Amino acid sequence: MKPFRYEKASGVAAACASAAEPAAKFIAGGTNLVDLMKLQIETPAHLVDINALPLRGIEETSENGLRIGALVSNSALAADIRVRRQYPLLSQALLSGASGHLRNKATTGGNLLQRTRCPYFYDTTKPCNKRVRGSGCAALHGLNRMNAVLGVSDNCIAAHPSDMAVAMTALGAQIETVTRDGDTRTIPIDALYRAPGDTPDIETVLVPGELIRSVVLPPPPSGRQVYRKVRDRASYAFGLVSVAMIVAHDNDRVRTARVAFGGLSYKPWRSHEAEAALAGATLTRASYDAAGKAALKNARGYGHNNFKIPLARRTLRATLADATESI
Amino acid sequence: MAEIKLAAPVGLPLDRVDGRLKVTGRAPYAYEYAAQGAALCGIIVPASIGKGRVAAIDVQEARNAPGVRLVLTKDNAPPQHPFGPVDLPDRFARAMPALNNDEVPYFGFPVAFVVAETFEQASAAAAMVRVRYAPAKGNYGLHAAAATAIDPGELGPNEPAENAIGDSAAPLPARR
Repeated sequence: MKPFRYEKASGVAAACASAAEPAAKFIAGGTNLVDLMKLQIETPAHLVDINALPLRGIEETSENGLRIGALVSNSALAADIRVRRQYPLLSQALLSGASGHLRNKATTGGNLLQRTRCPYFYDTTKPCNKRVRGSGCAALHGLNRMNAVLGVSDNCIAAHPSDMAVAMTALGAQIETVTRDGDTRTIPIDALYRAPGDTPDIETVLVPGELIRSVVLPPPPSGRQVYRKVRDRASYAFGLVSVAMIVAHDNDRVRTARVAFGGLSYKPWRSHEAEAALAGATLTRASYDAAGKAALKNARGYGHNNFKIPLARRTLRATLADATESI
Repeated sequence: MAEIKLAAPVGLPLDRVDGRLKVTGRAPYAYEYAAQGAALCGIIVPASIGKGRVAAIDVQEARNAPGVRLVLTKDNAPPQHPFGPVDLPDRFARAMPALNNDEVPYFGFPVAFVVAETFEQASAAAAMVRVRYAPAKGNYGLHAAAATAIDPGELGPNEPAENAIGDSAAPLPARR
């Protein structure tokens, strides 16, 4: 057993100061961190419990967007009437993830920062560069069915497991943080995650002691919103591929589309290639296939996960057909 | 036929008498009624290779860990009947020994068993068991092993084995 210090933070500044210490970590819902600590994959020396901080509100912004406190539970966010009316994509994505019990505990900030479910990250008898830098990647030639096909490196092919973050990426969310020096900054969600490169253990641009305070959604975009998740069973399973889609269309053409994929990369994968292919495209199977082809152009399979590439193309097509009631 | 009426309490929204105890985690498990003092917890250390043998196993640290009462390995497990025989008519009557030799027939096969006063102590000590393996070549795919597959004939009394090779893609609609 690994002893650790546990501290209940009374304020944001104190929390950031404590968490900036070596081997310290914030804990909120604990639905991922506690599991990882039990398996000795995460071994923090100091836990800073932020549950008492006033970050549990959801409020409208002056720009007609929504500011979501980092401690808002996945359940509360999915059920919020403003989310359900204006950002149904986000509600759908949240409700497709985990279980009711977990969603009651899991928080908005914690969901963004959850770790991969790559089986080799969990198996301490196997090399994993994300767990032990420089030890190697057992997934590369191993059981990599759940792993990524876009934007990763031979040092790590882990996929980000979140559904919520995929919807937030399509919605163009901004992450608001505060550092131990009291500085605040706003990070576009697409810039929150770092490509694995040769340091896959460093997953985000956040610095020690930097706390996610809130997530800001811009005003709801025009168009229909759909989250489609493909997985091994219909509930309580991580996505093999998911698509978050916001599409506005006329009778016969797409006006604008926003596309983000889950399950394909180290982060929710916004596909500007698919969006460009879809702008002005006809509501036809050929258009949707062209968008899928553009989105997966640089994809690379690692054996067991080769199927994700055609599956992502087909899921994109099915999502478009669903959202536009075409083909 | 006469109309069937459901008699109370079927279908009624009754509270379960044990519901509160169970959802609050206070209902005792059977072992918690044990009359011989507090129950101990055992944790299996699974093999981390698919095929081979245990070349060496170091349990010193685990044995000295807090709360540990016993660490069983191939070096100190009691003698047992060897595995099998595979053609025993009742497959549930086959000997299923553990820790009886150094062979690792599959990934996750038990190579040690750690018993401690609490689950947490047993888990922590199990993580301290150091195993050195001598891996061997294994079979990891059905297709690769198909040529050496055996037809068992039957799975048990009145339970014939079925052999059929079909084309799973054929009845499905054309790939989209």
